[in-house]
Amino acid sequence: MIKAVVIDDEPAMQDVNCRLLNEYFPEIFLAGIANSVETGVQLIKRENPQLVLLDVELGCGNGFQILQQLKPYSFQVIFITGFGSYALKAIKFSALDYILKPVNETEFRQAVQQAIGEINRDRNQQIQTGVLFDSLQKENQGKKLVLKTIDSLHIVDASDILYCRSDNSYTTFHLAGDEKIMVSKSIREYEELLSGHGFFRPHQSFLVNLDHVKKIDKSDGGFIIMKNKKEIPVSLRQKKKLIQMLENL
Amino acid sequence: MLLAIFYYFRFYYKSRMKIVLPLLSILFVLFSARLSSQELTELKHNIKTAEDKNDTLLLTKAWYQLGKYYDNLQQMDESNQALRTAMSLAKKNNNHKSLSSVANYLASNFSITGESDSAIIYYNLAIDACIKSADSLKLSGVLINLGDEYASTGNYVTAARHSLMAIRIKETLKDSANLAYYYQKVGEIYKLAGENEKWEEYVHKAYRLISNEKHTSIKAIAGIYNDLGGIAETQGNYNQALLYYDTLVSIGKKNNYHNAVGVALSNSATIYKLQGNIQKALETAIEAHKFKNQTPYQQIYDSNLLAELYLENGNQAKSLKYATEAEENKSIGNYPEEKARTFKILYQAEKQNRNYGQALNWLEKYKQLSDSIRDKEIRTQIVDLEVAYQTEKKEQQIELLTTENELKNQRLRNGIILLAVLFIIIVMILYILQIRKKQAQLIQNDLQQQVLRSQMNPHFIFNVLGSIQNFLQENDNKNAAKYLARFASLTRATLEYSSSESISLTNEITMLTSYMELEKMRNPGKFNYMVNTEDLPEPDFINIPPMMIQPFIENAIKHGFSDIHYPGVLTVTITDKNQWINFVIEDNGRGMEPGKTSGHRPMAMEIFEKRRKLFQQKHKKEVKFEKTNLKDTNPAKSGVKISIHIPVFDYD
Repeated sequence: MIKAVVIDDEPAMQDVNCRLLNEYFPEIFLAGIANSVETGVQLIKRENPQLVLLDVELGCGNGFQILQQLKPYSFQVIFITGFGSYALKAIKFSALDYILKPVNETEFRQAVQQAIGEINRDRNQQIQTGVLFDSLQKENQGKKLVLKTIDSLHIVDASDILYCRSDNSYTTFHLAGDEKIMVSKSIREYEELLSGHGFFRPHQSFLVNLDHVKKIDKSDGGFIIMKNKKEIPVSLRQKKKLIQMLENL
Repeated sequence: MLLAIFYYFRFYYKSRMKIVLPLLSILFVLFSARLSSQELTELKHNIKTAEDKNDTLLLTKAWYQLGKYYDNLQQMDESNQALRTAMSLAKKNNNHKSLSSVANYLASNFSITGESDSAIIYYNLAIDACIKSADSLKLSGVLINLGDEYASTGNYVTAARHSLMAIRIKETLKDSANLAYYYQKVGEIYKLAGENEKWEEYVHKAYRLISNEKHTSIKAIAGIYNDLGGIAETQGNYNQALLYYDTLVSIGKKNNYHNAVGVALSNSATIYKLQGNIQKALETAIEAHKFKNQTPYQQIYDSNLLAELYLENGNQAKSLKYATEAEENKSIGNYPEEKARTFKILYQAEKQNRNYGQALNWLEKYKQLSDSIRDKEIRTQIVDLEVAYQTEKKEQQIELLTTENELKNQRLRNGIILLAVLFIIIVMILYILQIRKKQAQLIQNDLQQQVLRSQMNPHFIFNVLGSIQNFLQENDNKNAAKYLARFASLTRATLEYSSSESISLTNEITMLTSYMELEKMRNPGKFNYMVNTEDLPEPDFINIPPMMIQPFIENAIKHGFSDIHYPGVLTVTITDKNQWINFVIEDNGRGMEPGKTSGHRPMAMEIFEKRRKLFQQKHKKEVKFEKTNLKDTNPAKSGVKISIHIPVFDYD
């Protein structure tokens, strides 16, 4: 029996989440609702849930403060966040799960389903939380990235990523030392996360770490030649942009 | 240029003592070669023409030209006659400009023939005319001539005043053309007055200027070297003097200035005589005497010198020959001192020849002349002072003109600087305004675009809200919730993209799809949609202006599918056309009815048109738009096909 709590400062949201849980996950027991940092901490300490649906923007305070206070914790967190949240990027870097307000049912179900899977596999989020808190600080954002595969969790130094290659909705990360990690997120998402940190998407299917670029071959449409000799195609439309980016480095 | 030099020579010639600068020389030769009788008929013709036209200005000029012509041919009487005619015409018409030129020319004619009194009168007339026509430059020229003239009559004080005034004007006007000549002339005056130090000073001043040879005539340069020789002579540096005269000879030879050579030789001969080298002196004097085109004064001087040298050599016959030659020169009356010298030589020669009767004759003539010269000198000094007082008034007028010029110069300079500064400021202001205008326009453009983009949303937001309300009223909460979720994600996207200028094609397609989903949910069963993106390899990298397609889809659904009784199909085909993305929206609805084309214009279309125009203004790229009624091409079909070409943003 999985125990869950909902921490949100808006009653409407509390209702929605509870109802959705009830409707789609009757096997999950809703142990309680809280609406602030203090009450949230108390609730979790008292009930010891495995699943916490946590609103990021909590009146005077934020959901992260609860996590800080409860470190190390052993439950699965699903963040609930409105539009334009500053924390969203940090959450994405840590590969923690989140749903947007207003809640999209499909997304809700997917997120909770995933969480159940993690709970059953007895996995804990410590490493991810670590990266989360690091990433919340602007100076540290972009240094580390959590890659979640079907069976494992990888923390990767962004500087170790040579390039990523996409294949439909999967992305394979090629790291230094010939290591390869495949994740089930689209390359576009990573482009969003990493483009501010020295990564460039020269082609629909590729995302490249410019630090590992050796040179650009302008012949025949254009190729990026990585330091490890790997050749990466450059789309015509991105050629100009690439050259400018390299000039600015 | 030649003409200008010629006129300078014309005006500034004056010879009396050793300082000579005959003007005519080579230039006359040159000019005479060019002038011909043909020209005479031409000039006379000009006079006739001017008379016929009754154009007094032209007539004055024509007589002036004629006068100059005769002067070139050394027909002085005819020349003076023509010039007088020109002058009276100019006087009658108060044409001070022409008057000053003609008077000056006439005066210099008299000057050459030694008629100093007439020359002085006409120079003064020229000066008056110059003042009246406020021509400072010409005034300086006339003044230096007059100074020279006064010097030749022994009125050194007046001469110096006039010449110094001329220099002052030149300096005020910052006109250094031939300034060396002016200095040299002043020096000459001081020499004649016996002030050797001042003479040296000015000659050296002139000498310093002649390095800038563009501004100094050969005549001036020659004069300066001649002076330097003269100075060295008075200091007793005979060898130095000879060196200067040698330089003068080479300058003269180099520039075909034969008179300079003649003068240099003559002066060198004098030096040799002073040194006691009679042989050499004689040789040189003979050489000098060979130059035929010298001024009357120089001719007389040369003859006298030869006569003296032959006398010393004991050749009385030759001495008499040359002395008589001098005495018979018609201009000798103008040069009493040379005349006296001639008498003296004649007396000595006859005495040696033991023609005592003749000798006595000449001696008496000599004594008479010497006395009168001395008397004249005293009288001249008195007259000098008198004239000096009279010229004071004229000087004041000239002063006024000069200071006016100074002020004018300053004011002009200041004016120009001010104008330049103003001009620069204006240019800068205009430039800044231009930039600001452009910036403002760009900002306005952007804002307008933004406004237009966001305007589309309220429009359909209320539609959506209406639909939600509908669901709720029908108790269809499930659908309401679903609808709301869809709407939320579309709104999220719109908010994110409406403030950007461009959007990736992927995102645009997502938004369009969301929108179509919403519309589909609102009107269940009414229509189905399909998005075709086979021909689109890189939607992520293609950037287009956001939300331009939505109004067309809205239209198709609203108008095309209203009142149809069959399932509507909406197809959106997107293809990559490199610089454009082509959206083809085809529906199988009612189609456009003939006649009912542009009844009302939906607001969305208007917004589209506005955005299209703004886009063209800013990016100079066109948004192409085409609408066809399917029935027109295929009567079996019904519906509307819209083809839009949206320009792609180049990365720049």
